[in-house]
Parts: sequence; structure tokens; C-alpha cells
Amino acid sequence: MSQPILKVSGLTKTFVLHLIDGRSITPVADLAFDVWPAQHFLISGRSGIGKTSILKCIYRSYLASAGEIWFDSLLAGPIELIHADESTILRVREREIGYCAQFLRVLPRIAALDILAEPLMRQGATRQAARDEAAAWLQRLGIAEPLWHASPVTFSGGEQQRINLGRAFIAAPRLLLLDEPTASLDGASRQVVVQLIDDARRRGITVLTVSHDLDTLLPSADARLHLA
Amino acid sequence: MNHAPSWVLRVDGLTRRFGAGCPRCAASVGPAHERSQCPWCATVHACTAASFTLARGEVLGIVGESGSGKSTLLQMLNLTSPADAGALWYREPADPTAPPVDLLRLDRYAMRQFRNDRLGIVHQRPELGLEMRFSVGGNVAEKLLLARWRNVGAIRERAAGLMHQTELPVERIDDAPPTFSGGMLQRVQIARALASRPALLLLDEVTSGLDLSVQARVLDLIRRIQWEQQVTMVLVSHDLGVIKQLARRTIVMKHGHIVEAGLTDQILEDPQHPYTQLLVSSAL
Ligand SMILES: Nc1ncnc2c1ncn2[C@@H]1O[C@H](COP(=O)(O)OP(=O)(O)OP(=O)(O)O)[C@@H](O)[C@H]1O
Ligand SMILES: [Mg+2]
Ligand SMILES: [Zn+2]
Repeated sequence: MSQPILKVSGLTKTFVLHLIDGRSITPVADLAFDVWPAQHFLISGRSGIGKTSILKCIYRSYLASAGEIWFDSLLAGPIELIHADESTILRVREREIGYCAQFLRVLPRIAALDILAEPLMRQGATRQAARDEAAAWLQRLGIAEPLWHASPVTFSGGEQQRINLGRAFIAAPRLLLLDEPTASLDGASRQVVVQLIDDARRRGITVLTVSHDLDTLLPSADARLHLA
Repeated sequence: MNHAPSWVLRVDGLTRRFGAGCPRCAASVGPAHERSQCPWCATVHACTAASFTLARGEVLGIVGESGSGKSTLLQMLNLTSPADAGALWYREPADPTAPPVDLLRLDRYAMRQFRNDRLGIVHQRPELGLEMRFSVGGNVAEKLLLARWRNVGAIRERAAGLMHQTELPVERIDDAPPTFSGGMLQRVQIARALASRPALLLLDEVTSGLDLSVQARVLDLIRRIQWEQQVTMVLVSHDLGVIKQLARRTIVMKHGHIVEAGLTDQILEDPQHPYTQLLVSSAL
């Protein structure tokens, strides 16, 4: 635990809306924080304050406007995510940084089982091994067996969210970015999320969560950044 | 551990214009001037200084409005249209120690042989990619003959295998293309393009004009082929939905220029260029 796994400094994100007279919005300004290995780091703050933008800058779905984001990669050594080349980002996404978006997005026509199996196959698992592990996760997430071979497109909001989480956790990345992981879940399922996070950390996985559900998540967090 | 994934193709400053050009061209065309045709000399600058790198097994998407130069760029990659400037560095995936070659410097014979052996292309309109008087099997076989396959039995066997792979009814191997549906014809083109196990597969608007359900099936097929065979692909489409399904990196073209390039999710979620913002907002 000699150095942070993620080191954010001076992070600023400005959107320039060219279609609306070039107006600009800056949801993230000069933000700095460090995340240490196997920590559960929680970022809280009211809706619209820029929590998702922070995660997306780290994952590089957004291009940060200023600052540095250093990630301590096993594959590529320390890399600065804002400026790293695209192939490096893709490689790191496959193996080291996972992202669970606020809402599940999947192609229709692909069964829940295969959605969970895919990240494992990308990492080199055989189809059979990947599907076996996917089945174990679906079981654990409380997804009824008849649904395993259906596309999650028609699932309930809570079921979709559990698939979403399963797909992120099953890949066992070194750093997991979770965006509002408990939204659209009932009380029991929210506790499952807490268990997933705790288990992941026991396996050495670092979790960075943004959420306003402090009742559920704060007890398991060991560092917190509140945006105001 | 720390090596970059090897590239197959490095496109450097690829340029194509139709017309002689004039001294005022440079200051008159391009995205900033909202046109690719010079008002002084009428030269069309179809593609200007396109540069990008393709890693082995990756799918690169190219989006842009009609006339932005996507097909011109693809034709240059296919070595069927000459380039006025630039280089097309190719590294043979099967032989990573061989030095890269600039395909544009090959002589005509070597260029044609390279196209037959190492490239495959699927056109928007099947009649551009298929010989309508030949049977479907004949179309696939022709590509194999061009790639210097000589054993008739092996050719027929490979053609049948490719039809099976692309979900075509093998018992119709001797039927002519006009008796096939639009979605089937795209699969025939894909079978033909894959016949010689190309290092690079070029796809030009392959699903435009197909019914949505047929479109989905062709896209599923392309995704499966990419997954199973790790074929490097360049996918041209004006439909961001298609690009999103298949390509992890995307370049955006306008008036012959690449105005933006990035990870596909970044292009869609945080487009930088005004034109990309317009494209994304029109699609959603
Ligand atoms: N052979 C040619 N002679 C003259 N101009 C040409 C020729 N081929 C293409 N152009 C011009 O070059 C520009 C780019 O054409 P291109 O076909 O590459 O566009 P595209 O992006 O593929 O468009 P679309 O989406 O409609 O297929 C257009 O202005 C076109 O008219
Ligand atoms: Mg075109
Ligand atoms: Zn001119």
C-alpha cells in the first residue's frame, strides 16, 4: 500500500455546447483526491453536481478539460488516463478498470447469461467456464433461472440493475467505478450491493462509488468526498 | 508487458481530390468553409490528409454525412482508388518481424495481388460487389481463384463452409444472386470478402436500406465473425447506432477532413467538434 491506485488532481470538466451558442458548463472544477488500493471510496453530493462526470472522466467516456488522473496499472505501469492513447485505455478497460453505469445498456437479443459471460471471455475464459461462472453470479444476484436465457431489455428496473452490477463485478477489475449502484433497488437488494462491495474489497478490488444513498453505502465506505 | 498492441495498418496523410486544384483551394475548402469543392477551380477535395492507425483485430468506425469522403477513403484503403498524397503502411499480421510496406508504392500487379489476397470489401449495393450472372458459390469461388486457389474440390468446399458460416442455405450454392433477398446478398458479399482470410475487411454502409430485423441479423453476423476470427475491420456508416454496436474507436469525417477521432463511447457521450455534436444530437 505504498501508493494510491488512483490519483486525481486539478480535475476540471467543461462542456462546450456548440449547438447552444457555444455556451459552456463546468460540472467539475479543480477536484483532487487519492484512492488507495482495496479502499471503498465514496463520492456524495446532490443530484446534478457532477458525480457521474467524475467517473466518466476516469473511464475516459468524457475527455477531461484539465488536470491529471494517474492510474497505477499492472499492465502498463503508471498511466495518465486523460492523455493515454486509445489502445491503452481499451486494454486497461478490459482488464483493470470496470465501470457500472447508472442504467443498464445492452443490445437486445443477447441473453442475461451471455451478458455476464462476455467480460470473462474477453479475458480469455472458455465459453463454458464463462457461462458457468455467469450462472453462479445470476444465482447470487437473485435472478430467477427462467430469466437467464432472456434479454434483460424486458427485465424490471431492479433486475436490470442487478445484471448491470453483475457484469461489472464478474470481470474482477482492479478498480471498479460504480455510479449510483443502489438506485432502483429494494432494501434487500441494496444490502446485496453492500455485500458485493465488501467481498470485492476482500479480494483486493478497489471500489469508487458515487451515490447519494448514504444510508446504505456510508457504513461500508472508508473514505468519503462530499461535493457541495 | 508494456508493449503497444501491434498495428496492421497505419494511414498517413491520405489525400484524394477530383480536379487539378488551384492556389486558392487550401484557403477555400474544408469543414471551416462548409464545403469540399473549391469555388474557384471546382476541384472536389474528397479526402484530405486522413491519418489513423488500426490495431490488429479492432473495428474502426467511420461516420459522417453524405459526401464527407467516407467511401473515397475506403476505396483508397481498398487500393481501388489512387491517392494523390499520403502513405498506407501495412504490417503483415502473420509475420510481425517483416518491415512495414507502403501499399501505395506497390506496382500495379502487386497491388492487385495484395487486394485479392489480403483485403475484403462489402459494398452497400450488392451489385457493386457481386457478379449477378454467376451463382452465389461462383462469386465466392471467384475471390478464391483471384487469391490463387487452384483445387476445384477445395474451392467448392471452402465456398460451402463460408456459406454455412454466414448463415446462408448451402443447398442454394448454385443459385444466382437475383433470387436472394437483400439481407442474404449482404451475407453473400461477406462470405466472398472473407474467402481469402483477409487481414482487413472493409464494410461500406452494409446495412443501409435493409429492414431493421434484417439489419440486426447482418450486424449480429459481423459481430460474431469479429469475435470468432478477430478480423480487423473498417466500418463506414452514417448510422451512429451501427457504429456503436460494432466499433470501439470511431473517426468522424466532414467535408473530406477527419474532424474528430476517439473511443466510440467518448464520441457519443462527449463529442467535441460542433459537427459531431450535431450528428449525435440528431441521432438520439
Ligand atoms: N469520382 C469522383 N469524381 C468527382 N467527385 C467525386 C468522385 N467520387 C467522389 N466524389 C466527390 O467526393 C466527395 C466525397 O464523396 P464520397 O463518396 O467519398 O462521400 P461519402 O462520405 O461516402 O458519402 P455517402 O455517405 O453519401 O456515401 C463528394 O463531394 C463526391 O461528389
Ligand atoms: Mg459512401
Ligand atoms: Zn481551387
